[in-house]
Amino acid sequence: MLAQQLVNGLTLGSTYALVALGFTLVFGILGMINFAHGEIFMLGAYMALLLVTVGKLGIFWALIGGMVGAAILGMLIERVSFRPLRKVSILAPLISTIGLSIFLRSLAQIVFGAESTRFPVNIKTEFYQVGPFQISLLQIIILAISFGLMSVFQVFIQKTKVGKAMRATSESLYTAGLLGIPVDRIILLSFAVASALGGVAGVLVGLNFNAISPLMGKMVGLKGLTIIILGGMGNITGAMVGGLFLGFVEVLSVGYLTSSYRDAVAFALMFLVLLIRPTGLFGRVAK
Amino acid sequence: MKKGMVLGMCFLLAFCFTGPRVRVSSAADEILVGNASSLTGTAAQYGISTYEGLEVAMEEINAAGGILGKKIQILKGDDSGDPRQAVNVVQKFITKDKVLVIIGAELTGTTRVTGPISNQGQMVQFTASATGAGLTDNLPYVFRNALPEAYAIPFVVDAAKKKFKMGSVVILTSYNLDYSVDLTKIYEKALSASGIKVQDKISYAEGDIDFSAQVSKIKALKPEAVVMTGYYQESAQLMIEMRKQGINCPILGSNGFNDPKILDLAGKAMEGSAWASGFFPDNPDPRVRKFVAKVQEKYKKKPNQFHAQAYDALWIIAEAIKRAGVTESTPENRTKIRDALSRIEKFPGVSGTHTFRAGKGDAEKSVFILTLRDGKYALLD
Amino acid sequence: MFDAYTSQVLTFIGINSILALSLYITALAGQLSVGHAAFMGIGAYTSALLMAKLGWPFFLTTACGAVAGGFFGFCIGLPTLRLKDLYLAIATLAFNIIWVVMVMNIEAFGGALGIFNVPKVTNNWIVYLSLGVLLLSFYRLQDSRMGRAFRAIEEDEDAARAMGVNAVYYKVYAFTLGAFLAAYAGALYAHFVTFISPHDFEVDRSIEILLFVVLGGGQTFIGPVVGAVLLTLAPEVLRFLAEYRLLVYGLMFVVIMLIRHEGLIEEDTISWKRWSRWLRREGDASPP
Repeated sequence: MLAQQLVNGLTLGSTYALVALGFTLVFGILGMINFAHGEIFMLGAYMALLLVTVGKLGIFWALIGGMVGAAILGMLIERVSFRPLRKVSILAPLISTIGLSIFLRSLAQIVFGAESTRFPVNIKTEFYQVGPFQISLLQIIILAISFGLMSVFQVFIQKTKVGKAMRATSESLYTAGLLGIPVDRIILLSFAVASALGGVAGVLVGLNFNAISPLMGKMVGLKGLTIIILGGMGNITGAMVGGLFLGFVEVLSVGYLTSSYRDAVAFALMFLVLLIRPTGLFGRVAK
Repeated sequence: MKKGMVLGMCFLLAFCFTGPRVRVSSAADEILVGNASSLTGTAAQYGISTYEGLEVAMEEINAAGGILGKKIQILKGDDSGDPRQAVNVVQKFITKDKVLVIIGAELTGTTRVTGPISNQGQMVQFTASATGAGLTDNLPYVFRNALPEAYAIPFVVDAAKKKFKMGSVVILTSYNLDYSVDLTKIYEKALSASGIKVQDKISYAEGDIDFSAQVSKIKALKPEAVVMTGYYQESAQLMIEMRKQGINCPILGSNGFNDPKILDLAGKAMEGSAWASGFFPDNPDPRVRKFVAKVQEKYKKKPNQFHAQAYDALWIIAEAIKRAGVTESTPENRTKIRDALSRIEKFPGVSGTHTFRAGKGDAEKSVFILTLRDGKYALLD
Repeated sequence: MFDAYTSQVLTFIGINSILALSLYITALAGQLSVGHAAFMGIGAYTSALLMAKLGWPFFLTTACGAVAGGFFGFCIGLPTLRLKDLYLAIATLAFNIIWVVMVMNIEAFGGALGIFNVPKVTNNWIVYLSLGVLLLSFYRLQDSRMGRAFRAIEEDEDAARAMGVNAVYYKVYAFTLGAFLAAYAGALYAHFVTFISPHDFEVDRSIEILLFVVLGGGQTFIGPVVGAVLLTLAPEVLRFLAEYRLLVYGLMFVVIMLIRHEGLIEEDTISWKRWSRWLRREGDASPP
């Protein structure tokens, strides 16, 4: 059973990692949390659903659509909640995004109905037996996409000009501005990328667990927060490793401890890390 | 700008205490029914279904001339499933809106806190969905036609034992859902009374989407049967995951299985399971077929038991009001309605035949033990 | 005097005002807590259980509830001293979630079923008397030594320390007191609604309390009360919107942050000097 649980944990963790990346990007650049990130995750899944049901497109295009839609939503949120408020206080964008998350969740409930739905596509649930565990085709696809995106993202942030500009801006907004980096645009772009990642994670989760609901973003959002604390706020490697770690912890605590304490375990870990090493296991980007 | 905001807020304050009630028409020529339910929040789909069932009944009654010549209007009162808001909704219905009857609340928790308030205000409160134990005890003004789980589960266990002959079960509990925790206890009691052992109890959380860990655990146990006590979303997910991992034993369910959505979500995974229902959607009875067709046409979905029970509730109340012969909301009149209600016998509803007895708020209704056979609901034989 | 509905709403307003002030006192010393609902829950459960299992009278159980809350506040406030801003907020949020999960799992506390048939004792006299005492205390606090110490710590903790202010003492004090008050409000709540469950004290509730202070304004002690009043009334006033209610509610915060982010009540708004100058039309006085 252990091997099976590890595979389950890996799949779950890889989607968590994508969500965490989104949080950490925004925190790295602005030092603020986008509380509506969980809702971007949820709406990404719904946008993909619409593309599949109404637009009659294939899952591949639905994934792309979900990413793009989420990115646009993220940019809108930046304009409404962050750009006008980020110089004012740290609290204001937080409150604004809390309001947005309530708004978006209710909107989804009204437009899409309160019950959960699923993708009407039947991905072949073939199972491959690999030694002591089973893995489905769907899980392989999800792992491939998640890790693929994470690698692409790493390359992007390390090697491309834009990526370097983002890193510079997250070091110091002020200095980046002095160096001629179009800070406002970089911030907007960061939101777009962060949200795209969150959106695609939503689609993947919706596919993997065969369920999409307006409330799916709530817990995921809070867990994303846990992950970036564990991994170090603003730290990209930390977000990815932290996401995988949380996936494992959750699955193992369900498998071997009483599953009803699962959430307590995750948040207790976060609390401990905050007390002992607030900068996270990988350290945070100097702010 | 600043001054405007502060002043504006002061006006808002004054308004809500003294201002006119926002209502469509006067109470003189209408019968007001207050519907306290959860139209938002985590139990929203049940609240919405209840409201839709009421709407269908309301339209039928009004089309036939209303009750005693007056048309019914339903006032929505959303409590988000929150007891704090529920008490405000109900108190407002009694004190400000002066409704004639309250239908609600939606959930066990919200009904528990509001029942005493309605009782004290001498207002009939009729719940068509709350299934917790003792909700109507010692509260002469509180009624319900939802099947209490404590009443229905022993039937399920008996029927399942006859059909599946299992000696032990594994119980799945949604640990943070009061409905599920309560139901688990009820199942345990019924199982032990039937001599069936509980092999293990496994929990998950309401809102979970990943059950791979729990199901892997179940698989290792090799159970004879699995009991699911949560709402339909998680139950459907669990079923799918179970069948995916090769666990094919029978599944015993609960009220949570009574939403046709579970069929959409779980599909074949649900074949062969057994649960109790107050409503059998594929019932060949012509009245049920007409009802199903109406809900399908109006809301583009198949009715669940909440639709059915709410529909019956409004018809039953209409009957009680007619027998009491009063339409103005005063404590004396409302008491007359309560008395009429407790004397209704053998009322034919789409969710079964209802009989009320003096001193008992729960309706006596038949219990259907349902199963899924070849993709359709059927009675378990 | 008031009909049953108005009286009920007034009680909620009173309890929420106490909650808002409980968060405010913690915030005064520069500490942001998004876990106050857990302290509220501690007070509620302690009081309800003591009354149910031991039959103690209301004043005793409420006092114990408040003390229990204060105790937990101390336990949380002390180790988290060196956490700042967002990190402290998240730590308190984590505490809230952990607390809820724990209570949910303990059958002796009712678990997910909660505790019902809690005797209804709370009434408007008790609530408003308590609130009155609180408001008076806050008014006196402003010019007291403690009040000034809080302000110094909130402005710049390092500078305050350098000036000899015992930041540790004041911060822990503020946190403990905040938890104490929140627990007291929780006990009042339990004995009013007569039914409590872990769901009543989840993170959503902590955020709601935070919104009281944010909306009303965190600059003066009147602000949080105003926020509590308005946000308690909002669902009632907006009730005609039924299922669209939450849409408006969420949007409201986005809009308020854009137009008046410091909250409705600023120091100027209640400053007697500003109002009297405007009333007497002195100079180019404008209304606060």
